[in-house]
Amino acid sequence: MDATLPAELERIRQGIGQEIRQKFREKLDACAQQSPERASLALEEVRIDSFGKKSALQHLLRQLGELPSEHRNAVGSAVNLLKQEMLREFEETRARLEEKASAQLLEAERIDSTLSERPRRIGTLHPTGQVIEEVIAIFGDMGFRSAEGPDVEDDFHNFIALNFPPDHPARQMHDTFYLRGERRGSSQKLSEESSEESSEELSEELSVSSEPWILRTHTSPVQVRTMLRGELPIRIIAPGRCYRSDSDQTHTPMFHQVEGLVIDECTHFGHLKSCLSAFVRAFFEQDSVGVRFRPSYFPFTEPSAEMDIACVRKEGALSLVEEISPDSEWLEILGCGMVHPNVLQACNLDPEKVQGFAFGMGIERLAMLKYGIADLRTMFEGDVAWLEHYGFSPLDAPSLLRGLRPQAC
Amino acid sequence: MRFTRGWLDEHLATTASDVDLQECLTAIGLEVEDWHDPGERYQAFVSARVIECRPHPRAQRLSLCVVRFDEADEPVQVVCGAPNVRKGFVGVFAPVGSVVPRTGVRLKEASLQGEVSRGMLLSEWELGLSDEHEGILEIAEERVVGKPFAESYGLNDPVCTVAVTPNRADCLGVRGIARDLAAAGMGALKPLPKPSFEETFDSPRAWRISLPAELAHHCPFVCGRSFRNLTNATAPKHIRARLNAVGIKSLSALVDVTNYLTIDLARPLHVFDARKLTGKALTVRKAHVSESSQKSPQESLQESFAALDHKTYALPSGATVIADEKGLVGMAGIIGGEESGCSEETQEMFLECALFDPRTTAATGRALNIESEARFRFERGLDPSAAEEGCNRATQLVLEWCGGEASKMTAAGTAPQTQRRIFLPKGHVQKLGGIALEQKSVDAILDKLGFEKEQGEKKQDEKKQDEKKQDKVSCYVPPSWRADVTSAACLVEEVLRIHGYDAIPDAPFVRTTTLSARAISRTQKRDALVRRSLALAGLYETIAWSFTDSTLSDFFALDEGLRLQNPISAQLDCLRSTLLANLAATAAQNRALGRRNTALFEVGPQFAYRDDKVLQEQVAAGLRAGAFETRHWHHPSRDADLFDAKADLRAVFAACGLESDRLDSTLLDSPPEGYHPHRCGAFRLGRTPIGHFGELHPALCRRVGLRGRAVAFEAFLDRIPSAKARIAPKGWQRQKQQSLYRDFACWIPEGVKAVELKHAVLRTMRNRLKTLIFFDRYRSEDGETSLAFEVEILPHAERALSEAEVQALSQEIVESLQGLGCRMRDG
Repeated sequence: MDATLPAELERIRQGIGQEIRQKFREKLDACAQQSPERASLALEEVRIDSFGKKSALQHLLRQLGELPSEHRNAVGSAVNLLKQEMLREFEETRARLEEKASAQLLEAERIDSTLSERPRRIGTLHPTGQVIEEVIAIFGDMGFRSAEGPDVEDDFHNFIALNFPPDHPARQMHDTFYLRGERRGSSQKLSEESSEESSEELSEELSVSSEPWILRTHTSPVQVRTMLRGELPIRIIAPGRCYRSDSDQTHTPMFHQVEGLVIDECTHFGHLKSCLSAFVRAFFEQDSVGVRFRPSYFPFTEPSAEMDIACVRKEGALSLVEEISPDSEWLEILGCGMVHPNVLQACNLDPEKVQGFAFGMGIERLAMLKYGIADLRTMFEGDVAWLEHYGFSPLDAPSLLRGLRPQAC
Repeated sequence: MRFTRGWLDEHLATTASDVDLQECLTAIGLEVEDWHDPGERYQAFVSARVIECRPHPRAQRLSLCVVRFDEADEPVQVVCGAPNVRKGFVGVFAPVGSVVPRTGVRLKEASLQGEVSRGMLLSEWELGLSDEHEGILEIAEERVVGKPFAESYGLNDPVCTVAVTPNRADCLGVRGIARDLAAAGMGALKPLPKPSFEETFDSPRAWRISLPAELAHHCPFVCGRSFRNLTNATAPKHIRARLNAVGIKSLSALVDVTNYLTIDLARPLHVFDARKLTGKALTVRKAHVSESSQKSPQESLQESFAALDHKTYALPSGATVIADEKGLVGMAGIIGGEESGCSEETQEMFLECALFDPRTTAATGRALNIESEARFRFERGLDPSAAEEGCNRATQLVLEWCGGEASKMTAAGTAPQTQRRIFLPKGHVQKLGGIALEQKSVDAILDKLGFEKEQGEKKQDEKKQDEKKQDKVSCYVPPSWRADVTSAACLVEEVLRIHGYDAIPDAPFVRTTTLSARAISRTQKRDALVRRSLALAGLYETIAWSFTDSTLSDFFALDEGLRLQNPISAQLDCLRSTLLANLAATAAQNRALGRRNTALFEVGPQFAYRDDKVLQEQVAAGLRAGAFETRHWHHPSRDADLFDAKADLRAVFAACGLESDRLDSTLLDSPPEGYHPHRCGAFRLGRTPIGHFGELHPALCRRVGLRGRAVAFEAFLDRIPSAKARIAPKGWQRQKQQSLYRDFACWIPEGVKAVELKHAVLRTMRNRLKTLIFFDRYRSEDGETSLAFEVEILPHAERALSEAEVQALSQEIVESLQGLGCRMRDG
């Protein structure tokens, strides 16, 4: 008995164990055959059937008490081992089935991601405005402040104070637009005028009779307005719209200029040269650009100069070069000079005490040169395709620190 | 200003190359616009002799010629149709393969009526020299046979065009240019030979000036001479070639004299056929304007004048004229008269050499729209002391070219004295120009340009004289031809440009503070933010003209004062009082080009005219036409509507720093201009409209050719108060409790606006209301409108709202809605 019982027990145990395990596996397999929704219910049934109070396993465990005590432990641990193995199998099956169910669910949610996204549109900024901001960024770093003035001016600010006497031949180069509206005589003193930044109204000066209002032919009247304010020293730039009665391939009746003015006690032509050379280098983002100052004539500067840059044209594209060569050419970029004593005087400044330089350049021309825009007229057409091509992202705010050119490293 | 190298060499003794001269001209302020050798296109042509000439056997008008230009070469047969060809004729031969300048045709060997022709004998027309087409060009001189045609005909002289700035009247003459070049080291200015001739009789005709005293300066001086026994043939060949080269048609010798001196010395003159003049004097006077006329000013009886250009002009008042006893014979400084002009028959001539006022000459020339070489020079100012000299040089040329006799000079008035001193403080060149030059270099440059340095003491400005004694100031007398030099700064410019701008060292231009200050104004910063916001919202920035079409005043009231006196076109004839018209036109063009996405904006000025003043204000305006959301697999397309424009407008307000959450749009008493009267709205601050939005008026769209509907907005940026600068926002408090959300839905009576509901709710909830969003709008079959909205109810600072509080609040909201006549919907 002693010798046979354990062997007998073992046999029984294995037999029952095999049976229980066999049935359990059949049930699990049956679950796996079910649809995913049913499978989880079926699994729960299997769990109750196989591990619940009424399960064969529990029954077996309850019978352990009837065994002789010396075999109880051995059989008990064997049964427990069996239970654990079954539990592990159950969990594995459950996990597998859940995974399958979830995969099926995701499969059912399949969407073709190659379909197009919902469009989000961002517009662009016009190159003219962008170039104005670039110019301000550069001169701002040299200590210039931006100033503004009205588009509609009187003869005094646009011509007289800038040393264009009536009938001066240089006036003919400025094909001036005249309004039908006339400014009537009033005799407010020049020095009393207030020209605040956002002032809507045009100021009034000495005038004897009525004269038509004119559209400013250059931004230089802002020089006059700034000097008349009398605060020295002066370092301003003034971007804005200008108007001339001229329309062809290279002229539009409206265009943009940026004016610059420096007035103090000692700024001379050598400063002018280095200031504008530095500007050109910064604007075109080249360490070295060939420049040339050529004597010229403007009524409001003396000495006067035009500044040329050396460049090469290849297949319509323009690139700046350090030195002039047979392949390259000089391209006029701006006009400048030392402020004429008559202008200082007209603005209540003493030419014996103060001096300085002024310059003016066409914004559209700068934009065309830098960004390869071939046709001036397209800049005013507002063709969306053109604006998409030449426009700037609204996130490109020009700054010297980050580099002027968008996406430039 | 155009001249030839050979012409320049008459005045300048130089060994400089063409390239040197070009570079120097530009460097001293006479920008070379063009420099070309006109002989280049004649390179293939030689002068050749016709050694045989017989009629073509089968064609009446053609001749068979054998042409020889080189003893070594075979003679060439040419078929020629010119009537003047004959044996022994010397002409211009164009070989096979060369290109005829006028026609651009490349010559090939040809057969004309069975006779071979290997080249062509050319006419002046074919050579591009003149319109002479009758016969072929005959070269008189035998010795040129075999030589290149360009050389033998004086066409190998390079032609230079320089841009002369308006201040340099003296450089409108070759001599002035030569003087500048000499000063800049390009050789030496040759002295002008003194004119010498005999005056054989007293002039039977005199000059008179008859101007009111106050207008005496319109012609301070005029002089001239009578000539007799002249032969008005042609000027020497090289003179004619030069005139042709600079674009002046060579006419009779007498006319060529005036044209030659105009270019050579910037001294315009005029020649009258003396036999066609009446009376013993020519008078300089003002044009008569009849005052007896009852007619309008345009039709008033003005003197009319038949000019050399075969046109008749009605003279504007104020014009200076030259008249004989019968009538007008010249328009002072502009153009001569047709009847009194010289012709080949002219044997007696009367010469005019005058000083006319630049301003009146310019005004008359502009009024009559006459461009002439004379006017161009008079209006820039002639050398006032060179009138007599000009008269004498012309006299010499007339006698040389036409023979005959000259009378004594007759003159009226006196040439004005222009001598003036200009003081140049020592060191001024360095102070203004930034370059240290020795006094003797400064003096040398000014001396070569014709400035006299005053050495002796003269009683003038005593203080200056004192300084001069101490050698602190130099005193210069500008030459009479440099009226433009008026101040020390002008002298500095003269010195700098001749010495060379390149030689001025760059001086570091540094800012005066450690860091750069804020560079842009408040309004520029605002505009930049507005532009960026709108671009981010999907709109493209445009820049349109500040002008617009006044016929759009059907839609936009136009102040008469904003109309242009001289518009460039009918579509751009007034300053714009709105940005909408241009935006609509631009959108229309885009649509016409097939651009689907037409969302545009502009930030720019608009104008108004009040009390003789022009008001300018900055406006941001935008327009959307077509789809806001394009067709997509997920949703259908949706056209932009006025609520998109309203959102754009709010984006502008936000960019301006205006917190517009609490700002609701209203309806104006009359709809804003340009919009659909019932699909628009406005935002106001107090009584001031700060923004308009809505659908564009369909009639406006039709007018500018914009198909379909479009929505637009305008933000009046200058009317929005500037955002208060703040360093940091007020302290932030964490909201400890959550907001509650409640929905309401009601039927609203006809005429009640959504915003009225919102205000009613706001009045009830006061600061408990955070947001109110309309989420549903429904129109029943009966035409009733229902609106549903959600409110966000803020909790107390420390605790949530009790159910009872929410109940009470909801009840109050319902009551206030009912107060507006609303009926709550079920649920």
